[in-house]
Amino acid sequence: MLKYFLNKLLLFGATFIGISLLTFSLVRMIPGDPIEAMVGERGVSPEFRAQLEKSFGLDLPVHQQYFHYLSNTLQGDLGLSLVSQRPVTEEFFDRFPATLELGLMSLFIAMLIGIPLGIVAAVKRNTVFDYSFMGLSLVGYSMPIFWWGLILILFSSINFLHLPFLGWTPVSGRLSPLFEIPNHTGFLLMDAWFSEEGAEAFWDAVRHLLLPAIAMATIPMATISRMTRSSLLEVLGENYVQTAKAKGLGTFRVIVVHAFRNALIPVVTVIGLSLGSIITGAILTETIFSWPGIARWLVTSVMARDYTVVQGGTLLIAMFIVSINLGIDLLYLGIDPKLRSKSAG
Amino acid sequence: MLAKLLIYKKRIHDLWDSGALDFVHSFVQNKGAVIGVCIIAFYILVAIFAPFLAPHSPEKIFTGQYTLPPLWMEGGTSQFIFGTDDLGRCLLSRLIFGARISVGVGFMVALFAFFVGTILGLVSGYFGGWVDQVIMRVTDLLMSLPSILLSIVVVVILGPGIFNAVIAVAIVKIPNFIRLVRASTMAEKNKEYIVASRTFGASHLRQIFINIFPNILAPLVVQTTLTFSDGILDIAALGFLGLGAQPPTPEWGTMLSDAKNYFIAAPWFVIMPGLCILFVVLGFNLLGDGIRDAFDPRLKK
Repeated sequence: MLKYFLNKLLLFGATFIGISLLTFSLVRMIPGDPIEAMVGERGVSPEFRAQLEKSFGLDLPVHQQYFHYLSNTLQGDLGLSLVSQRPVTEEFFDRFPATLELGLMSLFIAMLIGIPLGIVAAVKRNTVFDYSFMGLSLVGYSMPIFWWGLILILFSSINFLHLPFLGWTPVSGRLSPLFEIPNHTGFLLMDAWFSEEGAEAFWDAVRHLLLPAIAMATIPMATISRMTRSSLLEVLGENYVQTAKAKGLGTFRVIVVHAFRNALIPVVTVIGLSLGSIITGAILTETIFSWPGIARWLVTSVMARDYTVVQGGTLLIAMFIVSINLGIDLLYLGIDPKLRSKSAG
Repeated sequence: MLAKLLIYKKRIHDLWDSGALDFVHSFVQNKGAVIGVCIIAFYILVAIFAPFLAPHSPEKIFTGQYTLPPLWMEGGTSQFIFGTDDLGRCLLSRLIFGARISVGVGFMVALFAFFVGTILGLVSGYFGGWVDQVIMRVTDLLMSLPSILLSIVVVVILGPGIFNAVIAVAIVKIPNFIRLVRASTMAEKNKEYIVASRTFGASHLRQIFINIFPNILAPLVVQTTLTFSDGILDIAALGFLGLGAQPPTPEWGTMLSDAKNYFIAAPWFVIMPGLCILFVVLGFNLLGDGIRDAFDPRLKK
């Protein structure tokens, strides 16, 4: 057991070194000049330039620059953003809750819709329900997410067909400027609920969150429903399900209590993987809905050649993903006793 | 003559009985897969015959006729069946020529990722040892970054443009191939026929490409089909962010990034290119699912 933990920890460290090396070298391959990116195209006098280079350590040989970067990173210092002159870590953690809130909400929606769809499709196998639900999730899976976001805005926010029950979801941002919410956790839903405006601000935040969350939920919803269906189909053929049926248990009880619980492990895996791919979905979703999260921040930073942000932000995101994967691995150890005995031996 | 025909008939029957056509049989029975093939065939035909199908040149600007609505809406004309875009170009013609680009880039991404990923995966799985270690560690690293973010960074390094976008997207698809091919190769390389071949003195090259490669093709074909659809989606996404095909190229993603500024005035301009992407991606996903199911012995009942 301890050996397993140590192994995982060692791998985590190695991945950290690898990713820091990768981001460091990728950023240095981006054409352009960091000093110019910082001071603008007018340029600076050679003396001032040399001074700037010295202050950023850009006059050192590349390998020394890397070790410098690594030791600073290990001390929690990822440098200053060239654009805003604020620490990269501070900027990152200011925006991170917004992305996480969006991601968790979208996963919640994906599970809420995906799991029941999958169950119905498996139970009513080869019927109209099965075909239409699975067809629907494949369409969802094939959808360009940036287009889907635009379509949602078109139909729901702009409401260009003038349907009476739509048109109440805002197009962009996290909250109407009417509300002044003190920032405690960064999770706006929570902050709004406990603020003075209370429920009113909370519903405003929900309205802002809904469309981007739906746009982002589409792909995980498709994978979750497909996985639920195929995993449940496998379990439904097992003997203990037949036994439960033979005992005279109701269909609902057989499916939900006996079959679904055992079909859950692959579904949990898919949900875990979706958690890791939040950032991937967020990159396009946040761009379309002007959501002030880390994904949009990173994209604009890449475009603006904000080298320190690209380097530090990518590293933090990669470490977030690696940590989630590590967490899932450890979680399995808790769920599956077979794995536990294997890793102990 | 008749005897000859009978021999052919017998041969076809033998082929059928031998199970070689099982795959074709279960594939054709899968309605989804057939629909997928039809969709893809349609797109390929449109791509090939684009100059004959398109009513206008995709880049020709009709001055004064900006964002005209499509034929079936009020104010539409039969000259522009799907209306015109913000610069007065025929939307239908641009969509038709867009098929060339999207099908083309999907093909290039899949081919590039297949080629590089398969070779690296075969080498990694066959030889093992430190070669395997190096390749797998780099693969793990690439997979720990969000793929679209990595593509964006690579495009920024190479400079925006359709070919650079293809390279950027293909690079992030390579790890999937490496993992898949490596796993299948490792499962295959200790089987008896490989060992037997080794005792006859087969070279490594022969072992890898003539003995192992054909036997791991099944999952590889599925992966390639799915990479096709992923590639089209990602290239369109890069185009949407302004990093893929550059105007005036009629690429669907690039068209969408143009269209989003004319949201309220011209909703059809937003809807059409997205539908084109959706259907071609759906076609490849249906095909990929169909091939996987046809290869899957568990589903043969």
